[in-house]
Amino acid sequence: MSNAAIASIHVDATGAEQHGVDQHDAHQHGVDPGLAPDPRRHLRALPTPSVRRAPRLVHGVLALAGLAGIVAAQLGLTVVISEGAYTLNALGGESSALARTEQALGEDVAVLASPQHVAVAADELGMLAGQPSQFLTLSGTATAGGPDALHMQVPALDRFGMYVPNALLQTQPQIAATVEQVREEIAPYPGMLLPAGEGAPAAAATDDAGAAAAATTETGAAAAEAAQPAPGTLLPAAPGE
Amino acid sequence: MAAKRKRSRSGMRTAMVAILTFALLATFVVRLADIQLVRAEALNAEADGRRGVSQTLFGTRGPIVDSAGTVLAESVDRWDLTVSPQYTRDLEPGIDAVDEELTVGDALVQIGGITGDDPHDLQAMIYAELERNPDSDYLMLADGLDARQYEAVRDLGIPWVYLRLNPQRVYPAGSVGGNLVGFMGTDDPLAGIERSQDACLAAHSGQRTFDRSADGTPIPGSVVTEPAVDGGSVELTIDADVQYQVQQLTAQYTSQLRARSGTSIVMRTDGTVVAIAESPTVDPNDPTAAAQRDRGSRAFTAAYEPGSIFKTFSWAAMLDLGLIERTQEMSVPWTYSGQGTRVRDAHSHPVEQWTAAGILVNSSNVGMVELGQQLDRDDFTDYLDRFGFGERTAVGFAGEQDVPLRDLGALDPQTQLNVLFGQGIAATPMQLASAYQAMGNGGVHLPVQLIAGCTDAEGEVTAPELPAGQRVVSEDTARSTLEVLEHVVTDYGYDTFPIEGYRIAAKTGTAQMAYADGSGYDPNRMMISVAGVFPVDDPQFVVLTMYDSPQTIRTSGGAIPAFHDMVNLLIRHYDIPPSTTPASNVPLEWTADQP
Repeated sequence: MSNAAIASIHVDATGAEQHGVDQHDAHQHGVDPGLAPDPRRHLRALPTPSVRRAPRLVHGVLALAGLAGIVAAQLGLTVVISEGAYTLNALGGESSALARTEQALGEDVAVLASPQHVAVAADELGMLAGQPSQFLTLSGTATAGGPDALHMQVPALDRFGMYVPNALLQTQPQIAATVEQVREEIAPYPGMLLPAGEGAPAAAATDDAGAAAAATTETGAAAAEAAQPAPGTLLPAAPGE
Repeated sequence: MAAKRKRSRSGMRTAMVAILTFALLATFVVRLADIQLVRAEALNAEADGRRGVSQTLFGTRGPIVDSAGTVLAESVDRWDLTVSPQYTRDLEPGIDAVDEELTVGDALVQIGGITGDDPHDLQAMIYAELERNPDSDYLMLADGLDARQYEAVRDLGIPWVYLRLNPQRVYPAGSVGGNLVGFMGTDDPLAGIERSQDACLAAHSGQRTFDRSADGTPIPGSVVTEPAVDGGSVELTIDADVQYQVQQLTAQYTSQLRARSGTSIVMRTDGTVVAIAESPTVDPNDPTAAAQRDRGSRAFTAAYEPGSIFKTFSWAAMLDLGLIERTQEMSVPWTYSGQGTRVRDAHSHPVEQWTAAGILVNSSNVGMVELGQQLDRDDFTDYLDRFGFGERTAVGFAGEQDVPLRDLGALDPQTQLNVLFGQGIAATPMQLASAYQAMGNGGVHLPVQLIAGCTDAEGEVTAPELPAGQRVVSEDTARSTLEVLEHVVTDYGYDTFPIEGYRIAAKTGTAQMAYADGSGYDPNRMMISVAGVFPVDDPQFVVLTMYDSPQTIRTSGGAIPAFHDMVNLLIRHYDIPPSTTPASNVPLEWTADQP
């Protein structure tokens, strides 16, 4: 409606060329006699205030709403960030707790995988060293055997403890119990006879050496060396053998 | 009039408002200037102090691993449990975060249950500390708490307990390689690889600074982190399984022979070390349990006069120079004297018809002296130098001895002769093993290698810089010498020595030990040893085993079963197939043609 009014003023001011164009407008304002143009008055105040009030309100509301939105968003963002900081802190704590657990378990595994633990546990289970590999010869039908037996077959653990000690194994209850048990079985006391493992192998080795010397009498020096000197015998002053 | 008064009152009001406004403004400006300019620095510092937090980030010291990655040394987190004695108090529900009253005694009982300490001892420690200083704020009740104990103590929530991180070094394999790996003091590495490779292993601490909110949470955006750099990982050439078994054998034979100590070395013929075993040994988890002299590695630090196992090198030098031939026929009595010198064999024997090979196999001192008549002492010194005697090995072990070579030509005539059979010259066990390595490697001496490399935190591997190898004797000489030494294993008179099907070259030695003051040889002290290379047709390993002052068997026969077992062990462990070539057959004796 107000557009029609402006258009009508325009028509009056510019003349009749556009009259036909604005016929519809003219007809419209003919419906509204209060705003009928007075041909004698060329200037009059436009009813602008009522025209501009409505858009301003919308803009204001929009602006305020936008501002409120920004503030709310800022607030939300801050809340989320600080919430994130707490989450981060909590997750960091959880991560270090899990890292501690991992480390504790890794330590357990490393100690359980140590050669000493494996050896003592195998002894405990009654396991023996495996047979050496046999080798097939491509040329013939025979298998070539691996090496012979070791001369020294002693358990990893005796009453004096482990030959290759590991202080960390004391924290393993099962091994600690085994060590304690072996120690108690033959607790040494003053004047006790040495168990077979201590004296016998030495004697056996001497016997072996003696037998070997007898077998190869032509190497006199070796035979003489092989025989263990009796107690009190002076060792030869010359070096080597 | 009324209007005028009204106007002047209004003027006065305006003026007063203006004055008040300006006064207020002036106050603010002064205050602002005071805060922003005059006291700015102090206030900023105070604010930073309240909010800003700086934490040291500790890097982890790198691990030491064997060639298969088995961890021999690593760092783990441990915690010290400290309390504030002056603030120890009972906890009340409502005031503290506890559901029911928790007295100091109850708290100590709970702590003792976790750490394994007697609560009365803990209480006594607190009383003693308060007696000493009533305002004491620090007392360490227990140290070395592991992760589980740490969490258990932390969950008690006792406000006067503080747990302090204190990383520690552990050695999961215990004394396996303990002499090589070394150990740490409170802060610094004290021995072994820990000390010599500290530059690779040590970590560099970082720092984290941030502003913290009232409840201690880092304020987002204020965190500045300078990350810590973890230490590198040192990889050794040793094999922990073989190391364990060789240590076990060395310890058992040391105990059986009732020797003072035993040392065994297993090397590959490319110069890399597989195992170095010592008995008695050190468990780096508890180094103080071992005597001071047992905490290092005698293989590197204990030079001695090697005796007969040294004959191999003088014999090989003479063969390489073309001075002797393996089948050269000699008549060897048991004593030699001339020009004021006197040499005897270990045992009296009639004049023997030995070849040059027979002299080495039967380990005759007199025979060696007679063969060495033509050997120029300068040439011999050159050979010994190239074999690696007289200098530290490339390992550079902490406390390693070099034993400089003396000018052999300047020695007295007796010592010049003695050097031919390993007296009057000293060497470390490692130098001897390394010289045998040259014999097993076709005559080329390669530097001893114990450290395979250092891998830093970013995964970059640095291999150690090693000197180039050096040819000592010709390939032919090395092979010929090993073939002669094969007869020591088969024909020396010990059926505990050979392993059927395998060609093994070895030399025994019974060395006299000099008194520490140099006043001669100790008649009660012998070093028995066997050194060898196998398989002779394709040498792969060098084995040296030696025992100081054995009591039950006092000749090298005592070390022969140990050598056999170590070779046996290597054959089993590495599945070495039997030799496919026939055993060597060098004549050791000769018979004069009957006229």
